[in-house]
Amino acid sequence: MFGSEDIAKIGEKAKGFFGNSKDLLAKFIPSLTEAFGEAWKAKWGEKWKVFSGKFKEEWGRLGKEKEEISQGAQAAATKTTEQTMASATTAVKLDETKVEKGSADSYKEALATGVASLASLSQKQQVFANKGLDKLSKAVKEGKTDVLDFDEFKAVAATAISTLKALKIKYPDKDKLKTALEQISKASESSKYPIAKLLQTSVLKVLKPDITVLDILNPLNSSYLDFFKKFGISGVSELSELKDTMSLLKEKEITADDKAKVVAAYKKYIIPNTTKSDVVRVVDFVQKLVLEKPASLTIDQLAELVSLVDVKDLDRMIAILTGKIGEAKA
Amino acid sequence: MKIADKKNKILEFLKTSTIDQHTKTMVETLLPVMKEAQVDDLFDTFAEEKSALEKNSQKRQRVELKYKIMAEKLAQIEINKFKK
Repeated sequence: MFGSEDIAKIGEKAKGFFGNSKDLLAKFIPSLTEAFGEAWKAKWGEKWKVFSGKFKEEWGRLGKEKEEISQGAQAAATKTTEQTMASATTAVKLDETKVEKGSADSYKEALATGVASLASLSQKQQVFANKGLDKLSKAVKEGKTDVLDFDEFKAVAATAISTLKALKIKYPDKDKLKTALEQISKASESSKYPIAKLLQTSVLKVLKPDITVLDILNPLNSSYLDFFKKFGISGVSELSELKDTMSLLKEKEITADDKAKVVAAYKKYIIPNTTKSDVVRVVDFVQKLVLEKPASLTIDQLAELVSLVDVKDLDRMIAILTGKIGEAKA
Repeated sequence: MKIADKKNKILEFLKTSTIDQHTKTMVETLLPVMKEAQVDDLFDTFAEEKSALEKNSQKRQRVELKYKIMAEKLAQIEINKFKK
């Protein structure tokens, strides 16, 4: 009734089944029934049940073993990352009962980026950054405006820019970056550093370094002037010229020539690797902030600014802030 | 093995590790600044996971092969009986 071709066909079906599925009853029996009619099902049913039961048992045991291997690796890797994050997690701990898991994960990933950025600074800079972050925290919680000193400012700014840079690389699309920042911001409401509050002008002003022209001219301390030189500024007179150029943005009715001067200054000293059209957008953005003096930066604005600036310029700023480069390179 | 080599190897392990994506991201981000002891722990964790998964995969292949052969034999026996 059945020739060698039929047997080969069954063998092929068996091979096909084992290659694609683990459920004998669900896959193999219907195909046999389809090929050879209902009589096969009645004749083979019980035997295949026993056979498939044994197979499922062994397969299930191996599946469980695989699951246990994953769980073990998961637990160990989580423990190690938590150890690395320990001090920062304590400082910016989330109240996880108040945030959704997805938001909490995004926040932790951003925090990890921040921790990695902070830890990449020298020991001395880390001390400055921690002092600066403490002042920021007080500004958020108690409304204190204890302005960061210059070293604290540089360390905090480097950490913040490194974190934003990592997010920009992870989310090259502006809308996705904005969504990520919004999610992180929402989760951070339950932490010591709520991002929305950090972006308030009243808090951001503690970041403004307390430097006067006398500090820069001080013949006994060249560190301020040395810092500005890293942006490619030759000396005090060029710095003074740059300050005057930047002040042009305060004019409500800025002329096209004056605006072109500001754009050129930004392109030359601050963001040399950013495209000209994006530099114009950055200048428009800064001008708006200067003129409107908003009570707070929005997440949308932060995402806009970060997406406009070229990653190479963020790297350059970090290198300047951390003293990793002597003279700025465009 | 030097710590830098271990870090590179950990990044390689991550590609096939079965831990969740969030933990992978955390490891990738923090790895550059992890202390040596933590890098050692991670390296051991992922090396063990890889070896255990490979053994598990071999066992699964053996079970598949065993049941495939058994299924073919069983089918042949039943067909022969049916033919008589």
